[in-house]
Amino acid sequence: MREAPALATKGPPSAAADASSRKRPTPLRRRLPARSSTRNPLLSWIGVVLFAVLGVLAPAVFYGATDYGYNLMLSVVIWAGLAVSWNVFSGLTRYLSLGHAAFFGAGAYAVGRLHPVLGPWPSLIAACLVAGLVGLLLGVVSLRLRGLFFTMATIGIAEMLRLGVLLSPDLTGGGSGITLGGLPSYRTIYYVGLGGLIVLLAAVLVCMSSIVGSRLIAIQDDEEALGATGVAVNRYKIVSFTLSVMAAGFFGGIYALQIGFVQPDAVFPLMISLTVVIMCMLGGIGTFWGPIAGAVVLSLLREELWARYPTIWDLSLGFVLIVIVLAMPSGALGAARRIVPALRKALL
Amino acid sequence: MHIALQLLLNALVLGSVYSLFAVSLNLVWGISSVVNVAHGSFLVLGAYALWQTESMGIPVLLAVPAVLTLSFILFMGAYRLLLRALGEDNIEFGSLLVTWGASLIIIAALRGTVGTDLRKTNLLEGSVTIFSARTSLAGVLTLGLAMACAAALASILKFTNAGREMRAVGSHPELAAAVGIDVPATRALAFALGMTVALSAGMLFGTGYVFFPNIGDSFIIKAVAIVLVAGLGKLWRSWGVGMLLALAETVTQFYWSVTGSQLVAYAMLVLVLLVRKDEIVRLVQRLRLGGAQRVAVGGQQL
Repeated sequence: MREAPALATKGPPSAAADASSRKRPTPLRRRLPARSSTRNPLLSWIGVVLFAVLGVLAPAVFYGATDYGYNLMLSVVIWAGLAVSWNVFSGLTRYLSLGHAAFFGAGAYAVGRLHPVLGPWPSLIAACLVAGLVGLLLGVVSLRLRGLFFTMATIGIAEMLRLGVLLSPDLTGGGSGITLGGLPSYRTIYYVGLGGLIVLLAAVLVCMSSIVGSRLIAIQDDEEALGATGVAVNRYKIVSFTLSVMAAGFFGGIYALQIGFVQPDAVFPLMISLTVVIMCMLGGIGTFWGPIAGAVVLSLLREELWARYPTIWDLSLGFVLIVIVLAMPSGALGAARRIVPALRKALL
Repeated sequence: MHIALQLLLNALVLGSVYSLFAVSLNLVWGISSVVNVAHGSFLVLGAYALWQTESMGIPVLLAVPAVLTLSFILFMGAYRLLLRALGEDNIEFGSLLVTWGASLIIIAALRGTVGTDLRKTNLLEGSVTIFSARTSLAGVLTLGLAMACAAALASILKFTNAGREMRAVGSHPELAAAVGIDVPATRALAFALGMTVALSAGMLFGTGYVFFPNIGDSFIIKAVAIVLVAGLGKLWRSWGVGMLLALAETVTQFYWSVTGSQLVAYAMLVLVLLVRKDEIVRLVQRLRLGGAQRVAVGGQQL
């Protein structure tokens, strides 16, 4: 392990860096800060399996395997996928990107353009790659910024992408969008989407319960110090950002297959990015289960409210955001973590 | 030549609204540290307030000062509430999210009550021709009043004690506190002032242009771009940048398309975020220095 460079201005090297003062390294379990929810990965793995089973059975059990059920569950799956993919980068490193919709849209448009040529499933893979490419370019450019400026840059880039799509009608169909034909059944799309979500969850769990996750959290605490310990911080940031947006692109492709019609105002607006952020904040930003919980709750609510009372949806979203920021910034999971030990003490 | 003059006049009228709006955002952001994403929705609120008073038949000269005074008092209270709810350290990011929620609520409430139809006030009809460039009477009024508003703001900041305190808090809050300035009170004042100016910018906008609830969205992003380009707390620089943006937009709109003109603001925002001033300064330093001097400067993180 490299020692901190002599010119470091962070003060004298701490005793922890001196290997001879410790008998053996503290296990990862205890090194992870309390805010990581994967202190016991086994439980989370069981949870993922249960979630998969639930996902497979839900349309049949709750909605009688109708098209309506598949569509509804598909929307839930898409939002959950967006939330989890956003959280794995922005939640852990706290580089809050408000442009996630840009990659969702990039994936949707990729499928829109390539579906007639490649068919549904190869174009989904292409959607991942296109979104990843866009994410790589944008990430390299904007990850040099910090905090609020990074957020502003992502907003600006997402809007520029939307306007770019509007301005190039030959490539993207402009304002009138792209229509897809010859799509597979909702049932097939749902199971592919669910499969993608499970793969994503597994990947995120592996990441979070390994050294990668704790390093991403370390970026949140002190990036320069992490770099001083020999970790290639820039590479971590760019790679995790790119992988997270590839997942967003995948779900954008799923969305395109589901709706069959891609237009800029449906896939790119700031509201989608903001809704994803609110879902993660509601559940618990930076945790494993938080984004899924928040996404499931809010997307079901959205499906109920948005068609009939869109104004009430906007109102409730605004209220939820304000309440979360003021009352429970660490989301439902964070609040639960504080309440459960207190409850346990009170009851036992 | 005629085209150039016409474009210039259009840009001046549009720019006066942009600049006034950006200066108010800079006041709120630079001095009170509130990243007010809801600023655009307050612009729209101002326009709707004007339209509402007009349709209720209340004379404008009575309604406008009343609304502005009332909102000034309300905003001072709102800032205290915000500060207490979020805490001093968290206020930048926390206010970003809280004000975003507030803007969602305001716009949804507007949509629910007034509806999404395009609206226009009928206070001033007719057009005017200046040196062969045409504009509406309302446009001239907007330009004139915006300039007057800016002049009033400038004199408040320059000549009054409160203005001086605001400038002090804007440039260095800790030193200002050390000199005995009541920083929270000054910030509350700056917040209220900035929000009231935003409302009046909205009213000015409402006299000349058609508006609907969601029109604030494009305004806020442009205002954020202007404030970031000019620099937090640099109020008059943001006035200039706002005028420049309006000029760039008008020219782009004429020669390219309306959509393309919207791109200008975002391109400016992204460009300025990426090409930071300090990097340019360091680059120039590095190019100018040679040999031993370069090593010495290289010791501090270049």
